[in-house]
Amino acid sequence: MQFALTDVPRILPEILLLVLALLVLGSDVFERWANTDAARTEQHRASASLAALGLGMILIIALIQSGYVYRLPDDAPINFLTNIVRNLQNGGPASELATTPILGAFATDDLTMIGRLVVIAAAFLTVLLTYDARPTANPGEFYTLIIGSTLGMCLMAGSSELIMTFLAIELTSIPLYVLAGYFRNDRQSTEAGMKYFLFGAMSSGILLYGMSLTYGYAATAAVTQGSTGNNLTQFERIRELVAQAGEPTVLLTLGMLFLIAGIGYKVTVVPFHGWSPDVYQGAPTPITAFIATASKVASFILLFRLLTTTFPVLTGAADVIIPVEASTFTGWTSLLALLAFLTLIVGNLAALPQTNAKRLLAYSSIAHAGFLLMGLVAWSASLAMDREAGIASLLYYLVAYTVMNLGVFGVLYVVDQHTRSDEISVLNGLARRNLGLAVLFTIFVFSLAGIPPLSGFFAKFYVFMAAWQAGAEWLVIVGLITTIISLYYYLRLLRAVFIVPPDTDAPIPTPRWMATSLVLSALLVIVLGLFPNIILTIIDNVQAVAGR
Amino acid sequence: MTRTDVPRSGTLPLVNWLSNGGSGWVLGLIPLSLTLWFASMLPPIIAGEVLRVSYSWIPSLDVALAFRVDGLSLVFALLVVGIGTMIVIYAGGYMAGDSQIGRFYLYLFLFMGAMLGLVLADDIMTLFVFWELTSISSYLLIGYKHAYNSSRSAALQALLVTGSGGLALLAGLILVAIAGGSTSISTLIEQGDLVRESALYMPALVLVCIGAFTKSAQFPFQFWLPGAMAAPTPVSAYLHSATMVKAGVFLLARFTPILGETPAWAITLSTFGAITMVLGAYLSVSQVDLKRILAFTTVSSLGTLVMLIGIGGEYAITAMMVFLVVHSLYKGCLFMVAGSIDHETGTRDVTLLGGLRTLMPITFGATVLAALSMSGLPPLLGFVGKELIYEATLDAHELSPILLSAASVVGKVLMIIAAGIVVVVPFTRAQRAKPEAPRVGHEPPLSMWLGPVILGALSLLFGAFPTQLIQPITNSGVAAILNEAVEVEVKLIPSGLTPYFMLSVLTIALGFVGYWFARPTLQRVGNATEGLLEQGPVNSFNAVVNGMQALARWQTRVLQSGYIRNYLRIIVSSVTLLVSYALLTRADFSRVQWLPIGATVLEWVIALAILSGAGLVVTAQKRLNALAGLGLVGYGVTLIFLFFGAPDLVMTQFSIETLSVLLFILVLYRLPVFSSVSSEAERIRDAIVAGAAGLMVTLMVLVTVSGQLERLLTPYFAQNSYPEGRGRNVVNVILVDFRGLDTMGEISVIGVAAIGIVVLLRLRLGGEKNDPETVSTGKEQL
Repeated sequence: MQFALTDVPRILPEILLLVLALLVLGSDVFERWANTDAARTEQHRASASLAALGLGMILIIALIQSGYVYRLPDDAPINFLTNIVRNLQNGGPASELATTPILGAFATDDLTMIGRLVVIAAAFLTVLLTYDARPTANPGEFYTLIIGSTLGMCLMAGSSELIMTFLAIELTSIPLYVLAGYFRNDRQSTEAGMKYFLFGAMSSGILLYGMSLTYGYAATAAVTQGSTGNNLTQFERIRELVAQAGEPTVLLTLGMLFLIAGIGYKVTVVPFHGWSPDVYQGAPTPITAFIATASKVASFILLFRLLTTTFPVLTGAADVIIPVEASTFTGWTSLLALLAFLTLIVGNLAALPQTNAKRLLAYSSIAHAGFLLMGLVAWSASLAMDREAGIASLLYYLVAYTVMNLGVFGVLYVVDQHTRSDEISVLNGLARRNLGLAVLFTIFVFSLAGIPPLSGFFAKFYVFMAAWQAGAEWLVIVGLITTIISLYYYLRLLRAVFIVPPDTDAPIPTPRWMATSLVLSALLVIVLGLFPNIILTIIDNVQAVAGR
Repeated sequence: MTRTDVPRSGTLPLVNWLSNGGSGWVLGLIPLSLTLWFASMLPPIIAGEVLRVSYSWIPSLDVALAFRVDGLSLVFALLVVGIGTMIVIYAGGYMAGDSQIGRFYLYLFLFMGAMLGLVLADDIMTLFVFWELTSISSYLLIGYKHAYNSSRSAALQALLVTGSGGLALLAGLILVAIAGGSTSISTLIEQGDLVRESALYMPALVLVCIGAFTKSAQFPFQFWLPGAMAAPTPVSAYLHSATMVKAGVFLLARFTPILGETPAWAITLSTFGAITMVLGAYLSVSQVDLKRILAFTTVSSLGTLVMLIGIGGEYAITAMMVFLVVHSLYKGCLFMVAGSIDHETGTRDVTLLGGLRTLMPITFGATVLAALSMSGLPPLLGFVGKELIYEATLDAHELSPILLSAASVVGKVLMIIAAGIVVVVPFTRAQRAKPEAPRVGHEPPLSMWLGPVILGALSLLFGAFPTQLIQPITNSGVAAILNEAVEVEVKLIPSGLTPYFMLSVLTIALGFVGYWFARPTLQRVGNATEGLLEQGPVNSFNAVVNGMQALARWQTRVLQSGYIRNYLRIIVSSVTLLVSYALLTRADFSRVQWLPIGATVLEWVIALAILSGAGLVVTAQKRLNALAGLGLVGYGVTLIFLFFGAPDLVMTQFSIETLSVLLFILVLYRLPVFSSVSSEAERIRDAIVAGAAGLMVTLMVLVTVSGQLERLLTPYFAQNSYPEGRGRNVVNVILVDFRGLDTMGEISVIGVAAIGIVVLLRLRLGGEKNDPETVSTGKEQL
C-alpha cells in the first residue's frame, strides 16, 4: 500500500488546517510588539479574523468536498469551476477512493467527513465568539493552538490505526492543555491546565497499555496463523486476525478495556470524568465550549470506529446494567451501558447543587455523555437496522449537542465579558438587561433539557429509541428519570434569567460577532429540531460504511 | 434590543385606545374567526366524518405532522378558541395599561396554538411536541407577574411537575408506539387490541396515566394547580379551568380506544378520579381566596372527568363530554368574575368582600347563572351534567356503584357549598359598615363583563335545550372516544322519578342545608386538616427535591474533591475493578505458574531491590528519599531487561531513568518540603487501592505470559531478521525495523525530556516562586 498522489485531495481539509495554523502563527510575528491597548486589540483582531476567515473557508471547502449540499453530476460540462468541484469531490466520501483508508491508517469516509464538518464548524464558531473579546496575550499562538487542536480532532475522526489514533489524540490534547491554562495569571486557569495535563498524561498511559496489549494479541495471532506481521496496528487487520482466530482471548478483552478507559477521559464518562468540572470552570469560556463540544465529537467518533471495527466479536449485549453473572456481561456494549448508567446518575445529580454556571454546564455535559453512550450501546442490537439507528442517533446527538453547547457557553461568555463572573447569579434578570440574549439562552437551555421541538429533544428521543430497540430498556428508564432531574437544574438557569431581579438594570451589550456566532448556533438548534431530516439524510450515508 | 416608547398623549387616540384595553377587541378577532372556522366543521363531524391531514416530518422514523378532526378534538378545539376569544377580550381590559401586554399576548397565543395542536394531533410525536409546548407557554404565563415572589416558585413548581409528567408520557407514548407498531393515532385506534395484549401494556398505561394525572392535577399531583393561581387571572381562567388542565383528560379520552376498556384502566382512573373529586371539593370550602376556592373546585371537577372516563361505556363517556362543556362554561365565567372583583376592589379575600350585588349588577347576574350551573340546578346545563353523572356511577356495575355514587354525591354537595361561598358572600352579604376591601367596587368595563355574561348565558341556553344543542356534538365526541357510533339522549327533563333524579334532589337539598348550617363546622375541620391534605403533597414534593439535592451534594463531595490525587485514585480503582472483573471471569488460570520456580539468585536480588525501592518511595518523609526509591525501582527494571535479552530496551530505559531522576532533582529545588503527610487512615485506603492495582497487573502479566507468546516470537525474529529486515544482527533489526516505531517513540521521549531539562537549567534556580503544590487547593462549589 503506497501513498498515491490521488490521496492528497482526500486529506485536503487537514492540509489546509495545517497551512492555516502556520499562517496564523506567522502573521502574528508582525504585530508582536503591540504595547498599547488599541494596538493589542488590533493584533488580537487580526489573528482572530485570519483564523475565522480561514476556518470558514476550510469549512466551505470541506462542505463542497463532502457533496452533501451539492453533488456534481457525472455529465456536468468540463470547465475551470466544475473541474475544481470534481477534483474536490473525487477526494470526498462519495468517491471510490474513500472505500479504503489511506495507508490503512486514515479513513476518509462519511463518518470522517461528518466529524470534520462538525469539528471545523465548532472551531469556527468558537473563534467568532472570541473576536470581540478582551485581547489575549499572544493571540497568534492562541488561535494556532485552536487550529492545531482542530487538526488533531479531524485526524481522530478518521483514524483507523492504533498509532495514528494515539498521535491524533495527543495532537488534540496538548494544545488543549495549553489553552485551558492560557490565562497564566489566573489561578483557576493555571490549575485547569495543570489538572487537564496530568489527567491526560495518566489516560495516555492507560491508552498505550491497551494498545500494546491489543497489538500483542494481533502479533500473536498473526504468528500463530502464519500470516504476515504487517499492518498489525490497523483496526481492520486486527479484526481479521481476531475473526480468523475464532475465540477472542482474555488478552484482547483486556486490551479493549484499557482502550475504553483511556479514551473514556476524553469523552468524560464517569469514572474518568474527574477533571472536567474543574477544567471547564477554570479554562477560558470559549475554550471550555471548544473542549466540551469539538473534542468530545471527535472522541466519540473515534471510540465508535475503534470499537465497531476492531472488536465486533466482543460487542456483547446491553440488556442489563449491573452484571449479575459473568455470562450477561459479554462485551463493550455491556461495559458502555454500565458506564452510561453511572454517567447519567452522577452527572445529573452533581449538576443540581452548583452555583457556578460554567460548572453546572460542565456536569450537564458529563450527563450528555451518558446519553451519547446510549447511541453506542445500541450497537448491541441484533438487527442491522437497529444498529444503524444507533449510529444515526449518536451522530445526530453529537451535532445537536455541539451547537447547543457552543451557544450556551457563548451566552455565558458574553455575560462574563461584561460582568467578569460566571456565577449563576450574574444571569439574574438577563431578560431585562438584554432580552435578545435571554431568548437565545432560553433556546439553548430548553434544547439541552430536551424540550420539543428543539434539536436537543429529538436527539434524546432518537437515542432513547435506538437504545430501547437494542434491548437496553433499563438504561432508557434511567435516562428518562435523569432527564427529569436535569429539568430542575436547567430551570434554575432560566429562573435566574427571567424571574430573579438583577442587581442592576444596566444593559449587557452583545458585540456583533459574538451575536453572529450565537444566532448561527440558535438557528441550527431550531432548524435541526424542526427538520431533523436535513442531516438525517446525510447521516444515512454513514450507516452504509459503519454497517459493513 | 431597542424598545420604542409609545408617546402617551392624546395625539394618538388609536394607540391610546389600544394600550388601554382596546387591544383585546382587535386581537380577539383572531380566535373568533378560528371559532367560526371550527364551527363550520360541525355539520360534517356530526354526520360522522373524520377529517385528517398529514405532512411528512421525519420520514426515517415514520413520524408525521398529522392532524385529525373528529367529535372529540372538535369539542376541545371549540372550547380552546371559543373561550380563548372571551379571554383575549377580557385580558385587554384586565391588563390595560400594562407596559408589557404585547409579551403577554404573545405567550397567550403561543399557548393557544400549542393547545390547538395538542387536541388536533393525530400522531403521538406531534401530540407530545404540542403537549410540552403547552407546559412551556404556561410557564411563561404563570411567571408573567414577576413582582410576586410566590409567582416565581409557583411557575417553577408547575413546570417541574408537568414537565416530569411530560417525560413519563413520552416514555408511555413510545411504549404504545412500539406495542402498536405505529405512531399514528388513527392507526393505533384501529389496532387497540394489539396494544392491550402487548407485554408493554401495563408500563405504558402507568406512564401515560402519570402524564395525564400531572397535567390534570389528579391526586397526588393536585398541589401544583392551586399554587399556580399566582398567575394573572385571565391565565387562570383560560389555562387552569378551561383548557390546559383538561389536556390530561383529553389524553385519557383520546387513548380510551387504545389503552382503555380493561379492568386496570377502569380501576386506576375511577379510583384516582374519585379521590381527587372528593379531596378537591373538600379543600375548596375552607378557602378564603376566591381564586383558590375555584382552583380546588377545578381539581374536583377534573377528578370527576377522569373518574367518568375510567367508568367507561357510552353513558359515562356522554356524561364526561357534557360535564366537560358544563365545567368549562361556568368555571371560565367564575374565574373572570373573580378577576373582575380583584380588579375593582383590590382583594379576592371573601371575608373582606360584601354587597357587590348593587355595585356590580351585570357581573352578579353572570355569576348567579354560573354558580347555579355549578350547583347543578335546573334548567342550567350543570343539572343535565349531574343527572348523567349519577346515571353513570349508578350503572358502574363492574366497579362499585355505591362507592362511586356516594363519592359523587359528597363531591357535588361540597361543590354547592363552594358555589354558595363564591356567590352569596361577596355579592349578597350586607356591605359592612366599614368596607374592608381596599377599594369600593363598581362595574368593570364592557370587555370584562362580556365574557362572563356570554358564558353564563350559554350555560342557560344549552341547559334549556340540551337535546337540540348539545346532544349531536356529544354523541359524535363519544363516538370518537369509543370508536363506535352511539346514540345517547341528553335531556333536561328527567324521565320520571328515576334513582338519578332522586339522588339529584337529595344532593341539592343536602347542599343547601350544608351551606346554611354546616359551613362553619366544615371550615373549621377543613382548616384543621389543611396542613395534612393541602400542604402534605407540597411538602413531600419539596422533600423529594431537597432529598435529591442532599444526595447530589454528598455525591459531589465524594467524587469531586478538587484534588487530582483523588481523581486519580478513582480512575485507578475503576480500571482495577474492570480489569480484575474481566480477568477473573474470563482468564484461564490453569497454565499460570504461580510460584517462582527456577528463579536464579540474581533474579531474587533484583526483585528484592525493586521491592525495597518501592517500600522506600511510600515510606519516605522527604522527596529526595522518595526519588532515590523510584530510581532504585527504575534501574532494577532495567537490569531485568538486561538479563532477559532485551538490550534495546535497556538502552532506552536506562537513559529515561537517568533523565527523569535528573529532571526530578531540578524540580525538587523549586518545591517546598512535604507540608503534610497523609494520615493513617488515608494510607491504609491508598495501600488497598495500590495493592489491588498491583495485584491486578501481576495477575495480568502472569496470565499473559502463561500463553505461548514468548516461545514463538524469539524464533520468529531469528528466522525473519535477514529475509525481511536485511540485517544479520538480530538486535539491530529489531530496533530499527521490527520495532522501528517503538524506537522512534523512545527517541522522541528522550528528546522531549532533554529539552525539558535544558529549559529547567536555563531558568534561574530560586527565581519566581511558582508553587504547584498549593495550586490544587480545593475549589469545590457546593
